[in-house]
Amino acid sequence: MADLALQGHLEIPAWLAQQHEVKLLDFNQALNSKSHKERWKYTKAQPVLDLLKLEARAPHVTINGRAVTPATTGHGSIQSPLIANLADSPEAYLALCNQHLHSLDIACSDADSALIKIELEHTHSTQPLMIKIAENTTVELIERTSTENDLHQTLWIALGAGSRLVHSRNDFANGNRWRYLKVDIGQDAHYNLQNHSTGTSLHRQDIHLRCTGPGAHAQISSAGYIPKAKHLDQQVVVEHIAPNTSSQQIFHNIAQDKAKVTFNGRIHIHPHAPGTVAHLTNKNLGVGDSATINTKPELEIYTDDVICSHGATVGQLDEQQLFYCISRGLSPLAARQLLSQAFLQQCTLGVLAEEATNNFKKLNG
Amino acid sequence: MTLLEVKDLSVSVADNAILKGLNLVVNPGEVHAIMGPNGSGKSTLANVLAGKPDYQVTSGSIWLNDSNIEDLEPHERAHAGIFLAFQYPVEVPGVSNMEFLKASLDCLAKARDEPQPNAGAFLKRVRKIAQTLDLNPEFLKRGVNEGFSGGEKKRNEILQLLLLEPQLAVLDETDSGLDIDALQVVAQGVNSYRNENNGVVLITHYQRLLEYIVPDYVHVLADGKIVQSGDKGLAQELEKKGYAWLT
Amino acid sequence: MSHSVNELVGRNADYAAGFVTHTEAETLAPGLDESVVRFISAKKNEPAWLTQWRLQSFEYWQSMQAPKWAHVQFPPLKFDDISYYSAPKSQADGPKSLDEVDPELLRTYEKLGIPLHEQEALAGVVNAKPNVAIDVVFDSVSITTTFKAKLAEAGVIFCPISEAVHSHGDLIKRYLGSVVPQRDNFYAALNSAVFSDGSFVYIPKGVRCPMELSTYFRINERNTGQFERTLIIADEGSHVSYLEGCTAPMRDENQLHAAVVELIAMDDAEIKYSTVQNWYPGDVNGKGGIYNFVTKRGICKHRAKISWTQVETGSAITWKYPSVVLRGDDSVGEFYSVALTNNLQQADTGTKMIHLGKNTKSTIISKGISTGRSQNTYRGLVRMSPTATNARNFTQCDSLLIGDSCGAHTFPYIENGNSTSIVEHEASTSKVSDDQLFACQQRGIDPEKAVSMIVNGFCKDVFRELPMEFAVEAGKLLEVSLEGAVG
Repeated sequence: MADLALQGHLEIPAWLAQQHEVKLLDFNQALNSKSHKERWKYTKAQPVLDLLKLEARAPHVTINGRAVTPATTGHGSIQSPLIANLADSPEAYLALCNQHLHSLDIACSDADSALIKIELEHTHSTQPLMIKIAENTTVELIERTSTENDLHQTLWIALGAGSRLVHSRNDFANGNRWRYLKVDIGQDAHYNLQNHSTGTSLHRQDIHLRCTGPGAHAQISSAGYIPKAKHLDQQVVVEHIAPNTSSQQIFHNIAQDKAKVTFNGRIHIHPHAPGTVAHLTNKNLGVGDSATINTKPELEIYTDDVICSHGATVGQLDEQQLFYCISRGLSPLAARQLLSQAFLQQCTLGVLAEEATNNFKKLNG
Repeated sequence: MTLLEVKDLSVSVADNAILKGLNLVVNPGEVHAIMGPNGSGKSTLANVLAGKPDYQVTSGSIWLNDSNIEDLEPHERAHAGIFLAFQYPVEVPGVSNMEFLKASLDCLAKARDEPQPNAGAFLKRVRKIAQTLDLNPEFLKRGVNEGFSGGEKKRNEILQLLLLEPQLAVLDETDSGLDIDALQVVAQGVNSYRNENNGVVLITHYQRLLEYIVPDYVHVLADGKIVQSGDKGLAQELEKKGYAWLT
Repeated sequence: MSHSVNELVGRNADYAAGFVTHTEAETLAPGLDESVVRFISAKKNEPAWLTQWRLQSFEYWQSMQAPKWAHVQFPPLKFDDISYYSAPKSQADGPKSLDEVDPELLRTYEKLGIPLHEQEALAGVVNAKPNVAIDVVFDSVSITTTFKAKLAEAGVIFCPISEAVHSHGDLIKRYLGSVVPQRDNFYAALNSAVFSDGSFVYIPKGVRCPMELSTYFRINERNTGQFERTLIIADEGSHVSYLEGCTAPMRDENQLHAAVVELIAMDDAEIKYSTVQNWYPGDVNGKGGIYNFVTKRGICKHRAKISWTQVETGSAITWKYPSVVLRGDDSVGEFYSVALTNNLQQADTGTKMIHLGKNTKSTIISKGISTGRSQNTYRGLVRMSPTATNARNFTQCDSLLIGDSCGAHTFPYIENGNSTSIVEHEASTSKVSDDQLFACQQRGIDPEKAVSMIVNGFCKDVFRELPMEFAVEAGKLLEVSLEGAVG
């Protein structure tokens, strides 16, 4: 456990460096902070930072089937509380600073009390998108990535009091990825992420959820299949800032021969957040030889009235289950495929589940 | 001298009024059964007698041996002689039953300025009681209620009752979840505890237990008050007619 | 900058020529440079290779930086304000009688039931008989002699490492720094340069050590704690259980303790190492207290087993990761830990299990209790190397919080480099439940006793690994350390 060194550097845009409230120094501090170094412990930063240089365009958005153009602003909105904390992710912050910001305000009108469905189709690197969901609004967000091109993408979501968001995203295309997601969950709001993906030569997912209002609830189910010699790095932070908030996370990943999978899941319970309930499970299956699986489930807790747990396992398919299947006539290969599929199926949920299942089956076969 | 006197007691839990002016007098040597439909406040009565935090006495008073006890901490009430057999006995992982019982006896002895029980005699006594309750002596080494079956937990409560010999036993649905054999064992335990100096408040949903522990009085609790009192015949009537006719 | 030995001694106000004649009072003036390292080595009459080894370590240390990754905060240490040689302690330094000792400390002694004359020794009262604790606990020198004879009969070597440098130089030369290299980390490098003394243990092939070895037994052990160095070698098929520490809090003026412990378990050998650490934790406002920055590591050869058990309740800051390198096939590593922090204490402790051999197994059970305004961190690493086929680890890591101003943190690193090993990690955090507290109180047990009973129960899985007499004392110790935890 020697001191960690962050490889790579970020280029800070000149206009930002000149702004007195965001000093160069702050960036250096953020980049050298303990938590930031930890986030880059197992994946080299520079290739990911290089991705950031790819030209980004406006995201494709449809709402209830109609194409919409989000409002566009310049650099000014980095003062938004949703994105104000530089130390959380300096690189996401910079992506924001280097690009135009697109924002969507979603509110259900009285006439339109039905579910609002937002679809995002990623075909290229996108400029940052911020979605603000008004109070008591229920939204379904569907994200698909269909391109084999390399891409980076940042998404910022703020959930108003009493709102509901079910967020499903599938990413099964080849290509390098850096995907950043930050969600602020307001009072009594519920956020549910259904995340299905495959490993590529470089695939990094940063997910940062913050329960900022009392009674907020966060839920994540995530399934990943990392094929031979591919990569997936998931960095997840769930912060409990307000009292009586809860979170439930489950991540299942399968790593093939020479694949590398990294999972870092931190539950952070602030002082003055009593009544928090938070659970995290990360299970990893290594199939084939010499997969590298690094997992670090973390708890950081500053108040006593909490119920918290995390569990992580690294292992193989259960021999007894395999034998049971084989004794019922399945070939060893078929038994393995069946059980691997079942392992991922436990975390494959929501509207994109069927599509995800088919993709996992192909990868498994 | 009355053993227990509850005067016009009103109790709230999280600002919900549960008991609304309840009166009850228990004299030494008596067994009082408290019956009533779900949600009538039976368990609240049991918990408030034992001083469970979060139960707010909004008016009225509780007297034990003519002393007021509302301001006493739970352990001080135990020292004064109140025993609660829990509806859901709590697990205390890692603390063995033996350790727990010894700590309890020692604290009670200390509070009453009595000599601490001799370890050998204590052990002998616990084993003997365990035997009468059909509990394997091995269970004494296990953690308090840790991994016990429902029946074992309830029998463990009765073991503590017999060991600690309190003045007032409040049994909160001790019969729930017991099969007929276990019910008889528990009832025998309670009957062997009874004498002319102590009292029992028996909280139950069903009349079944009262066939084995015969009460002197039966009270029906509904909506936070005692709405009917009688002898054991009342319980049989309730068994036939249900609670609806009373409320 | 360098000083001659004479100059250095001249800096010692108390005793000009003290070291030459081996009188009792020698304290080196504060500050660290090459000459200090040479002085310490010369003082101990060390062979040239060891002097060189120390100097090399010192050079490494100068180029290293104190680690910053731990979840602890303290102002930077001023290494030039520390005196690096002070054994035995000057008589004039200590309190003259128990009247001058912190009354809180004395109250704790009373609670632990420590006899008066032993209290004096622990508190460092000047005119207390040296080693009274040993005499009281094990009743006089005759027992010391008896156990020495018994150990000699079995061929066990158990002596101060400074003595072993002379009597068993070959073993020391071969194994010193073989598990914790000189530049392993900042504090280990410092220790390698200036270590004062410590224990050396060698258990010959096939020997089961006839008794638990304890630092209690050792003569002249007082005041060597600051940079202690321990080396234990269990030769093939041997077995030893070693106890370190004391359940009474020690008055100590040293702020920094940077010890190194190295364990070597040869094929089929087994070492069990138990620690109860109760150094001065500082007062309720976090004033004073020991910084306990310790490096402990063992190496297992084929089918060997190393088991660490620790109960950590003392020190202002604890930075400690007793680890096992499972080099041999079928070897076993274990780590059982209870860490309790109160007031403003900070603990960052855990273990590293490095699996290299096939079919290696490790178990980690960690129980952290935090109360007051303290911060308690478990930090662990389980590494399954590509060569560690069919290796297994199980980790259980529980935290208990008492009061809403403390922190409990869990940072487990799991690194798996092969597809046949299995790692299971579980962690939970909770508080002492209101229901448990009420259930105990209902049976007449007062809240303070109830909490200490519940906490003891929470730690049971670890206490059960301690030698019997330690386990009982550890329970009492928790009770004392928890004082003030229940409002």
